[in-house]
Amino acid sequence: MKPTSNSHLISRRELLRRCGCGFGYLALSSLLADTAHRAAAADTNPLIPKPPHHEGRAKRIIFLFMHGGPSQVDTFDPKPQLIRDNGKLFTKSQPGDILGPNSKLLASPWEFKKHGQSGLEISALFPEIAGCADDLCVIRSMHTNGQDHGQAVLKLHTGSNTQVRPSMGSWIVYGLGTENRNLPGFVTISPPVFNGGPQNYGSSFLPAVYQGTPIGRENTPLSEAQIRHIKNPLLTIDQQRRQLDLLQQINRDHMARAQVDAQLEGIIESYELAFRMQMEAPEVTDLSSESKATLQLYGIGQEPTDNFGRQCLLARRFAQQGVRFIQLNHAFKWDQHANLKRDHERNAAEVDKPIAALLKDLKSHGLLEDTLVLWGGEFGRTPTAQGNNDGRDHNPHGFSVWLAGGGVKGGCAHGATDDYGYRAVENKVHTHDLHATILHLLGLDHTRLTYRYAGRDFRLTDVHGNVVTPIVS
Amino acid sequence: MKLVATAAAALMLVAGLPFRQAQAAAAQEDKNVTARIADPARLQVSPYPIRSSTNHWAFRPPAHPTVPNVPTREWSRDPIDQFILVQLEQRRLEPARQADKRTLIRRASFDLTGLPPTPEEVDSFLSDTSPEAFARVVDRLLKSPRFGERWGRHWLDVARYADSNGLEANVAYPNAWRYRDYVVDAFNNDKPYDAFIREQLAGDLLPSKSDDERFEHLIATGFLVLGPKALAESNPEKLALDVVDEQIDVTTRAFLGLTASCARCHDHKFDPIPTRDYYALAGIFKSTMTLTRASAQNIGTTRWLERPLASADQAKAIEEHTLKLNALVETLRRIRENPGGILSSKLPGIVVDNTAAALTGRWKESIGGTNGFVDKNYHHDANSDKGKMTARFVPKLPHTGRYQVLVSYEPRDNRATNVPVTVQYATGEQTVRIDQRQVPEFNGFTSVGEFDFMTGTNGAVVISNEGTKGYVVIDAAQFVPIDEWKLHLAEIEAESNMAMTMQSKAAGTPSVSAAPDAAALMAMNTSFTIGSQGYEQLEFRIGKLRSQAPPPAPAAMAVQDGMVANCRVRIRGDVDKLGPEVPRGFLTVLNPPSQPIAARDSSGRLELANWIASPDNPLTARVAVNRIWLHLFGRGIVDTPDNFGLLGEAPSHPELLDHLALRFIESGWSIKKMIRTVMLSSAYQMSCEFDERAYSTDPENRLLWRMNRRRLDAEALRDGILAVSGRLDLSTGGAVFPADRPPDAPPRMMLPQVASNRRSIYLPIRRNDLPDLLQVFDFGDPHAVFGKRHVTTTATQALFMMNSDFIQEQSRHFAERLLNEQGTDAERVNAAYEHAFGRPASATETERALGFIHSFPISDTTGPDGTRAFAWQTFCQVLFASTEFRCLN
Repeated sequence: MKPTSNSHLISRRELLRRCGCGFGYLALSSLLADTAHRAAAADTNPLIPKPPHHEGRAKRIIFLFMHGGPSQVDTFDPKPQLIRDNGKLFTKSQPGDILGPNSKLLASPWEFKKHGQSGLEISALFPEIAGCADDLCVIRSMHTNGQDHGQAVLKLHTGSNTQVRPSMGSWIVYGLGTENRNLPGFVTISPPVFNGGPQNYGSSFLPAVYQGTPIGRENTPLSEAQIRHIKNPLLTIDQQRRQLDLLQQINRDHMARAQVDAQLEGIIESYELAFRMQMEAPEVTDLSSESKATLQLYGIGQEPTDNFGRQCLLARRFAQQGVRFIQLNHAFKWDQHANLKRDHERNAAEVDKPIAALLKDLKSHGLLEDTLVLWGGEFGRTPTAQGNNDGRDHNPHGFSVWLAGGGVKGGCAHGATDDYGYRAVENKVHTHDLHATILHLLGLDHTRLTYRYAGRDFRLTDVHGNVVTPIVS
Repeated sequence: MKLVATAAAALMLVAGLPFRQAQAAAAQEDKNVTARIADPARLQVSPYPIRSSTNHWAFRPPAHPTVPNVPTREWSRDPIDQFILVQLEQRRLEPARQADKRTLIRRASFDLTGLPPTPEEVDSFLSDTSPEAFARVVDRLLKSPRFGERWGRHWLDVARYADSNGLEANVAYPNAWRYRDYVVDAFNNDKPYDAFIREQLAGDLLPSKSDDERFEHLIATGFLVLGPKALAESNPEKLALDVVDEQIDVTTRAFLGLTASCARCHDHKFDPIPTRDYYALAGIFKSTMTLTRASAQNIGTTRWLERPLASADQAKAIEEHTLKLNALVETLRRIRENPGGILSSKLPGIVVDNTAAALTGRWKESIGGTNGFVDKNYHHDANSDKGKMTARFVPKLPHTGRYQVLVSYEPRDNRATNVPVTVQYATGEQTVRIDQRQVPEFNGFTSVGEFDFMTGTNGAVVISNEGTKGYVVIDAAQFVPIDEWKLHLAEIEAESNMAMTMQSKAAGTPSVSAAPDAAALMAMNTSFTIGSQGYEQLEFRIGKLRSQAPPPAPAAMAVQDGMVANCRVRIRGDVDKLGPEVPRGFLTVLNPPSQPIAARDSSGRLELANWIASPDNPLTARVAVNRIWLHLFGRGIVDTPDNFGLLGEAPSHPELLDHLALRFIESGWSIKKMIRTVMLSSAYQMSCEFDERAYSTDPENRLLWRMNRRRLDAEALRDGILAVSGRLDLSTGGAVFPADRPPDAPPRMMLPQVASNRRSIYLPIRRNDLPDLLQVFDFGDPHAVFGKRHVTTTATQALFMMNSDFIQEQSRHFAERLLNEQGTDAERVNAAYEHAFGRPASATETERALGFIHSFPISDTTGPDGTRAFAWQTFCQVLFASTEFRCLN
């Protein structure tokens, strides 16, 4: 796992393999037929699928990012004591905590009920997701670093809240490559613009080939979003093919003069790949081929689920096409310092049905077993009230995320927070541990997935992280 | 045990130790570390004698290597070539032939200016058959102002330059561009590299002969301020130490090729940099002020230091103006915070407020203009019920005697002009009519006259609305014993005079009239105040004063020495775990001349800069010439230009590196001379041509049997396209934000990426949001030192070349340029090749191009007039997208 930085080129062998599919490479292949450099030109394409460290339970991951910080005690972490002590002063803050001495406990306005055979407790905010309770593995003992959104969002996405590091998705594509060469290996749909913005899907010191491909951006309707430059605004496909043929003739002449040059080969191939991607990506993002029933399942064409429903359906389609890392972003909406009741309800209503549909749909396509689904925000919220007794502050000390599919136990709740749901206390899982676990489920050893930069090897988990083995099925 | 696990993981990462071994080592270390760090004597000894690291080649001073005695050959033009040749001969390899002239001038033009040669420049070089022809080209290019834009950009990669902070608090750096322009100028003026180092690290401490030189030195220290900072960090000590860490990182990597910041939490595990050395450096930067508290408008966030670039006179004028303005603003603020503005308790004599008056009729309460009335409110008659309202003010007088009687009201244009005020005094009563549109002459009060009163509550002032037209206002009546009143008048006069004096002293400009400001200053004394007109005038004065402000001094991101103190070790880098204090100093492995730093009144940055910029520093010159080599050959002699430590790559030609380093120093650290020397070597002028045998021996071309074929980097690609399309805007320098952007504009008020045809170095570099093309074509992440960019090949790049608006638009301009020229289509194709590739088109190429253009299928979307141009545009795009354009032979 230590490619030198100049080696991200498409190999001759790979190129020859592709000659069959089309556009007059025979001349080129004969040029390359000499064997002198065969040894040197190893398989260096950085995106071809790579063997995992161990057999992974998941082949890909769908990350449902709830930007802003959903409240754990109102969603997946029921706290009867909080209900009993509603309105009392909170006395358990520690030095450095954001909570002052006059914070009052606030009971959840939503009722929790047991669901499924497992009896997993989920609040009334998510009636549809509750229907999939037996597929969920809730981690109730998450904790992280960063009291601010920016810090915590970066921590979750890159493992560092203080320094610029590659994103989780770029590490995974670096480690595993991608299964579909005609699509990006890492897509992020409607990604956030602030709180680190592109750093959350960037590759930092990893080569740019591993960075996430954004589709649209936060707060633009997904129906208008597309991969950048995926379509030529002027040329028809026929015209463009003709143009590309001329380009490749000129390039091949250049290649012939150079005789052997992996770099030139790489550029030539990149145009063919781009052309194929241009054909394939719009097909994947075009939902018109989906049945009416499917669209209804995801809540597409209805409010308030249309936009996130489109994201979820797109995620299933990308998963089907072998995209390695798919991130969906529910725009920065979950930050309820006030109006908790109204706005958490609105947010949940936007995502509940689409997410449940995604889980069911993945299952019916046989994809859930090797697709890891992760749901969560950058941190949780305090059990105490803020903003006219109808809001909660940021809380990095304890919160919930859940995983589904891809080798995790269903119907399970791991770890616990204290009686009020403020601080993780039992089987604590840090963001680094979550990262280690995700890599593990994908077949990667987080201590071995390294990249040498600035004099040392780097990891997603830096010097931290333990795999949360009890949740692995 | 958690710490042990962490330390074990760290050992695995940096030392590549297997897990068990790492765990054992970490456990042992954990036992020792606290004791060791806590003990200054033991702190000097690194527990990682992993290799004899002080013997590492890079820490030994470069010795003059003997130029190899390779059998004399025509090929060698410079000792550089001998060093190359000797290694080639050892492997029985031949250097490639000299590149042809067209290749050479294209290579040289992109290398030195980041732009392709014009067809005229190519022709001129071709027709110059003298042996000095290429040297002349190199000299011309080195003199071009485009040179600094190209090589300055290389340095900006190292200096992690950006126009915004990045991280999660991505606020704008509206003054970063001054540093950028400083760098461009430094390269254009061939500023000696040692001076370049000193200015960036300690420019604020250097002597200067003129204001301009002083400004330049200040701007240079922006190098230390430009880094990303966790501005939202709530622990100021942690924030400060993080900034120090970033400064240590950029300083050691940029100039020394060392990763000293590894030693923040533990002794460097490979390089001989103990934690002690780290905190010796940290003391220097901790004694330097980089951060400042937020301005009043931006409370809650930390900001970075900016220093004014002002002459002494200008600075004085600005300071005085600021003081004056602040005084007025403060006055206004006080008035605003004190509704009414006039407290009856602070007024002389006996004051009866309207709230204490006996009222008849339907008076309405008001606070009207928020100011210029006594106590909390006043009453008015709503301009109605005329003759039916009275207000009787009865004072409780302390003694019998003569009193000055006054009444207050808030004047306005809608007031009554003949309000009857009746004074009932000891011996009778008298009615005076007052005009409430006039501004009262005594701080809200107007005089009714002097009258005799008996002690007690016998006298009164009665105000009615009888026979009035307009609003009648009642606010207060004042009875001042006559002696007191005289004193009071004297005070008013004195204060007024003083205010006028202060005013004219401070202003120094006769255009600033003193009177209203005197009123303002009087108002600062709460026993006095101004009427509403004065209040409005005060605002007016402030506005006027603002508009008369001396031109603001430009500001530069810059540092200055702060509280000078040694730094204490932080155990495992934990801000709160204090270890022993370490005297400020340098990295001991590099044998600095004097250490520790003795100066108690300065940070030690100047000493640090001098040590780094010293010919005796084993790393500085090596690192610098290696960067130059990297940009001329596509790869450094040391392939890890930012890391010359033990984990860096070994040099491919160690003697050559030392030879160049010493020549560089001897030349007076001249970057231009060094570049010229290298470019005039035979090594640089080799072609890229393939050689079967050499390739099988050395496929990576580490021995330099040929020139590397290089990709145009993002800037060269974009600027090259703009040059060929004829649209390149060569205006230089300047701010990236519009001049009217308020200095304290909210952080997110960054410019969106603007359509600009300026050279790429002048595009705003917003961390986390780079200009599209730069992002796609491997621009380094500007959060950190990026001495060597990645070279990747991605479909995203191909999509950009195929479909982006930028490429389409420039292709259209290129086509228009061709179509505007006289001649046949074949000649146009030829011209296109000359512009794009610096060579004519072959017959086959011309024929193929014409075939494409003439038979290009036109779709419905293309209008009849545009058809021909459209086909040409499509053709021009092909040239931009071609490997020949995107690569440098």
